[in-house]
Amino acid sequence: MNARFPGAGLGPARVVIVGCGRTGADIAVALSEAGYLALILDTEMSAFDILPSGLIEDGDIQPILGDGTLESDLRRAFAQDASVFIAVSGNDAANALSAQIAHHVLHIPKVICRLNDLVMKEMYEGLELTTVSPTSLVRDLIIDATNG
Amino acid sequence: MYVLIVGAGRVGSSIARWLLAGDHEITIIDNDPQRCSAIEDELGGVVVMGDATEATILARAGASRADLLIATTRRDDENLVACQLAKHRFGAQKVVALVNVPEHVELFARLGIDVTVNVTELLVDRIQEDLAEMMVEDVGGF
Repeated sequence: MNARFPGAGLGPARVVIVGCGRTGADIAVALSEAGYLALILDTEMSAFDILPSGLIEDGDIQPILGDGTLESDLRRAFAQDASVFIAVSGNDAANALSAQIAHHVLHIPKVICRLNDLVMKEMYEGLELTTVSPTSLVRDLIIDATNG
Repeated sequence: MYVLIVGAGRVGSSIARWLLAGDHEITIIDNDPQRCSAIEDELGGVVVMGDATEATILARAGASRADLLIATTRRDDENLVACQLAKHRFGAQKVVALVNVPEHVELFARLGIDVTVNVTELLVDRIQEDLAEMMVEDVGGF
């Protein structure tokens, strides 16, 4: 399977992931296996240690040292050419800033922002962002399990 | 006027003093216990300790009746989120943000931050002015 740019023709579709924690790394692996070129940013070089070296050597995942809250660093990762942008650092405020740059400045078609804070989640949903909250996911699963 | 100030650093505390001198009502929000107690010792009970990117903390600080929120931390992401929450969740009339990274200025304005203060540009302008003066003086000395 190979996800491609709509209309671009050449090369795999790019996904930019901000934050190379466990979540970011897992998403990078899963999306690279689905045919995306996964560019993953972190401000700490050591964060990239959890990425599988094989996928980096094959060029399916590209680690990029940079600050995902800076337009200049995102452009260095060619985020403006990405079809998907995912902000999954451990910091809600940083994710909110990254995602708004991706949406309002870089005009990436699909922007997903991880937010633990449910008030922020509701506000940014109202401000055109797609958000995912581990807090509410876990809550819903537990409620389902309780009722089931 | 009721003003919320986010950040009890040098900028935030100076603005607090200035507003109090002008008989305005203020609350300062900061998550550092030491900075909070220093401000409390000096200015009295005008401090809420906590993270201003959390709605519960903003609510405790009375955000729903604030005329103005001024975000003065060194972190642009936190300044932005505090301003957006104040505006969209609490209906603050006006929000002002210090912007530490110049490339964020345009985005913040586009996202509805009423006033952005480009800290880096202000400092660079000031340093250039001072340097220009020094250079003129040096030339004059010869």
